[in-house]
Amino acid sequence: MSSSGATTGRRVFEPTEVLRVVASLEYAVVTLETQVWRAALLGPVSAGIVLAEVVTVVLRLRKLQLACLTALAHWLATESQLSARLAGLLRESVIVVSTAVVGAVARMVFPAQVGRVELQELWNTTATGASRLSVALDRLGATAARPSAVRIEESVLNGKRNFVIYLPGTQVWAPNPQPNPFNLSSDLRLYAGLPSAAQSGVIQLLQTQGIGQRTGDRVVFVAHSQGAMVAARLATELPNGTVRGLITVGGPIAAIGLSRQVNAVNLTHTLDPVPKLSLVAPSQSNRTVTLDVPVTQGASPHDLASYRQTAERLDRTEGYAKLRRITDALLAPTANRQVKVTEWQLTSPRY
Amino acid sequence: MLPPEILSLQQAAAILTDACPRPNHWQDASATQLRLELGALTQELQRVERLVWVTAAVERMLGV
Repeated sequence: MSSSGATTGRRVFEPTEVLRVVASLEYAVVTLETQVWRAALLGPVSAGIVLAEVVTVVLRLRKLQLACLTALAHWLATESQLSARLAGLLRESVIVVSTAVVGAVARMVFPAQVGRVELQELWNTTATGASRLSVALDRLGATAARPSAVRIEESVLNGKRNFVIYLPGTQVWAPNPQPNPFNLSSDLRLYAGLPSAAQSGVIQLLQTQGIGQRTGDRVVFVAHSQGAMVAARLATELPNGTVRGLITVGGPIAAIGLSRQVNAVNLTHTLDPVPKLSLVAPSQSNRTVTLDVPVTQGASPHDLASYRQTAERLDRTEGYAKLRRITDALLAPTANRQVKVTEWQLTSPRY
Repeated sequence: MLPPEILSLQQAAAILTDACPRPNHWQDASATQLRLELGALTQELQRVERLVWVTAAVERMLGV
């Protein structure tokens, strides 16, 4: 066993070596990009060959960089020794390199699709507000089963409006632009802190519904995976105090610095690599809790259905006082009260 | 000696050769796969380099 790496039998894995490879690939990409400029010195046919071939090679190099970072994230997830192994400068380097690489890929391959989304009301009804984590995840599961749907629950308490907004995870993995804003492009762009279709769609929905525009409006997001990134970014970008809290599962949001006023519950599975992609240990405070628990045997660690099973298990189990306290506080304004429910479908422009 | 306009392809191929994971620092299935991919890309760049070299020479002869 080396001091900075892990050896199991013949397996050797040093995170610094992965970073060296990623940096070398970046150097190769930059060198090839200068070749594209030098193509101006060539004749038309050879310049065409250079442009076509070099762009293909650069795309393949970017994919290899992502593969390296995925291997690193997987190592972090399986070793479960994030803080101990990735300290100080190394951790900062990993974050900078990964966001830069993902941002470069997102800018190069995926268009922003941040124009106005088309909003269509799918249905509305009245219901009773969720009072437990598993019930909230049940509702999120039902919403996530419909493409690009976002559910809004609204209740009024002491003259103030309280909203619970349910955001799904990634629904489309195709690399080309898609009508569904919860797509791969939004995933990478949110990770790199770039504008995304999913985030701009949800902002537009909030604006058209006047959510957050009256004094005292309070919003709680219940979200999975990509939806968690949208929720965390909105918590930092909307006017202070609008977002009261987040209830997220499987969200890579540890690197997004939330305001001290925001209460947050982030439930993750130990073997789910997605939350570990943020590459920092989640912060804990009096108002935030990140609970990393084993997945139910045989279940897929990142699936929303698996998180729903885990939530039901936690709801039945004694203990987990902090998780229960923060969840109850977040759901209290709507729990067991009549809420107006509306589900919206978001469609991206120009796909 | 390659003409300067395609020198970057040769440099990039050399960088990719150096970029391969070193076995005493990273040795597992993903590192092996990465070495294979980088080897293929290096060969690809060398093929493009030769293709551009020949095409550019023909273009010069034809005065394009």
